[in-house]
Amino acid sequence: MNQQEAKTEILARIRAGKPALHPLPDVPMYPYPGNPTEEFIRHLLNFDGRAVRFKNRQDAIAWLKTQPEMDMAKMKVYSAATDVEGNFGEDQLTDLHNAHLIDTCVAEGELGVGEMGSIWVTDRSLRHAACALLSRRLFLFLDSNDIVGGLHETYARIKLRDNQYGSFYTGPSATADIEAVHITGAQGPLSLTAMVYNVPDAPEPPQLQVNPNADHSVWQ
Amino acid sequence: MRQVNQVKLGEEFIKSRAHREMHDRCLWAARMRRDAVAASIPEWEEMRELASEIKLHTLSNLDFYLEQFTANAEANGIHVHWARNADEHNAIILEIFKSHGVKVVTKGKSMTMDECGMREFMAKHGIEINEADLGERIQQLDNQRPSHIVMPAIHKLRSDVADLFARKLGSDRDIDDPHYLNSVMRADMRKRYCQVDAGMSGVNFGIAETGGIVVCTNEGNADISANLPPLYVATMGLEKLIPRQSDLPLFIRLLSRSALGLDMTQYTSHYHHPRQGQEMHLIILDNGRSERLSSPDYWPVLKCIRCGACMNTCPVFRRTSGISYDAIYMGPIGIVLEPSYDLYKYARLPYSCTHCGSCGDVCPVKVPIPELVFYWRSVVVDHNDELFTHNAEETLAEPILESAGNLAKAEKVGLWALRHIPKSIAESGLNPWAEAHDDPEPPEETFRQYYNRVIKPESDKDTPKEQS
Repeated sequence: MNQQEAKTEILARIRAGKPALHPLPDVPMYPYPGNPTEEFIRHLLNFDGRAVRFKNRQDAIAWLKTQPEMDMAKMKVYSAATDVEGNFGEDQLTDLHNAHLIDTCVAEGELGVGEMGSIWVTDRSLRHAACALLSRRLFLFLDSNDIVGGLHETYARIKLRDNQYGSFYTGPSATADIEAVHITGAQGPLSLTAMVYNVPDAPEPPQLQVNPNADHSVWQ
Repeated sequence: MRQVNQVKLGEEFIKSRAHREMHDRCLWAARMRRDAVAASIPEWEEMRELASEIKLHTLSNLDFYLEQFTANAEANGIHVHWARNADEHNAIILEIFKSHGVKVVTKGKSMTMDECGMREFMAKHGIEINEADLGERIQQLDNQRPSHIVMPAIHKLRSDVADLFARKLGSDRDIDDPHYLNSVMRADMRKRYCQVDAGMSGVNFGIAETGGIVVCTNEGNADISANLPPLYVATMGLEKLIPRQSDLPLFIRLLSRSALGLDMTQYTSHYHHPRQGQEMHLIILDNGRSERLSSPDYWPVLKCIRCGACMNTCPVFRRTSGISYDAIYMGPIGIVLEPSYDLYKYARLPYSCTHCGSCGDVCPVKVPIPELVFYWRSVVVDHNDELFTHNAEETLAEPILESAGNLAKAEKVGLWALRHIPKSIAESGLNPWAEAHDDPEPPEETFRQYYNRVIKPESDKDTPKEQS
């Protein structure tokens, strides 16, 4: 089949029939009000995500190590984060399909969005997106200085084209496809925990914040 | 070919009270969430106008943006293909799959691929396409089309899904807890992801400036399909472009809020290059779109970003379900899109509308759906002899409706009947309306009499032409 011919014909049809030129408006940089970190956590919890605040990154790493999901005797842990060791190595990922064996995935979040509670991750920060998507529990570090208020400002800080894959992860994977019943843990992770560090007024000891109304599926 | 009779198909759905009430409740809840979240954004209405203008601009300069997009995407390492119609679309993908020896595919939701009948086509060539979105998978297993753009199985009760999964996936028929059903689906899909040769998805937005695509899902299914196998194939309708990266946040902020009343889709993913060791293909599909663009009255339909907000608010759709449209696109956007694919088959769809105008009010990109309904009705009337859209009631009503004087007489007869025909006859089985409605108390006078007496300005009273 001649692709060039199809392209030429489609473009010619568009040129012949397109309407008169409409002007292109500029999109204002709409801000989002409030404290970005607080808004980020509030919205993340709305999406059934979990959040913990820390004074610094060391505290976050220390807390993470105490979590049952990081119990190396029982769990397969993949880490793309600096200073956190896993037990599931690159050699086991020569076939990416093995990513479904991972219990816990740890990685760096690059930006947070106050307006939605989203975390920007890329192929660089995740190393293998498949691991973040097929693992059961996802833990993401996030520097509170990298949390932006609104989505417009967030996109202004990103160069989409520099990333093979870039995504806003907003809570764990979810579905409402059966009678609109909200269920977390559809195809991707069952939980997403944001470890937000460089928060000066973080409580001591660290407190895991969850949405009390979050879906806690009994079946998984 | 058979003409789709949405009224008749809708009646079948309405018969089951449990389905009807669940469907209406779920969709109306989405509409109410949408209103609440829209009200929380002060610039919401301004954003709708901007999004509409950006789409109008892009469409009015579409050849330029398509070329810009393609040049950038190809420079990014994406293989770009062009398909004039569904057959070309399917043939291109089959060729890609054959050259890679693809047998098993997982696929994220794509209305555009549905439009091409891609799944059925691949099945004929021995390639197994597994829908990876829960709702879409339910519909695939049930051999039924999606009934909603973003909630494909929303017309089904949990017990329907339990029964289906018991038959197809061997789950426990007696457990209809959606959590359990989701876990059955998850376990089944995991098996498939482990052996998948290629992933597929649709496209929500293509960015001309950066040559990348944006795919929005809640389940993560499209992300797994794109990030796991060594081959990723996506299809984009050629109207999905936006000019600049800085336009994108506007649309992302509108999309999920309009669709489900949620601030964001859980996975809002941007693909600009193939993964190392992966091949990425993008098919740009025309299939009638360039023709729609050339129609002066109709081209704004191409602004649609497929959020489904018009369906959630539509009183006809909420009661009759998307299944009753027997079409790829359903609800308000469906009744103005489908006739452009097949005027005869879908000639009755533009009549499935109460003119409440709500779809136009909630559309995030201001597609003038209510006006397009009239556009299609006028097209249908122009072709009336070939299309047979009139039913017996309409033919009977024609002499009454075609003259204001006749209508005024009919009103008086109606009032007389309301006063004098006993309920035992008026509300008998002869009158199906009475199954769910009581006749009103007869008023003192007809509305026209009341209007002429109380409302009509003095200056108009000299012209008693249609006075009763």
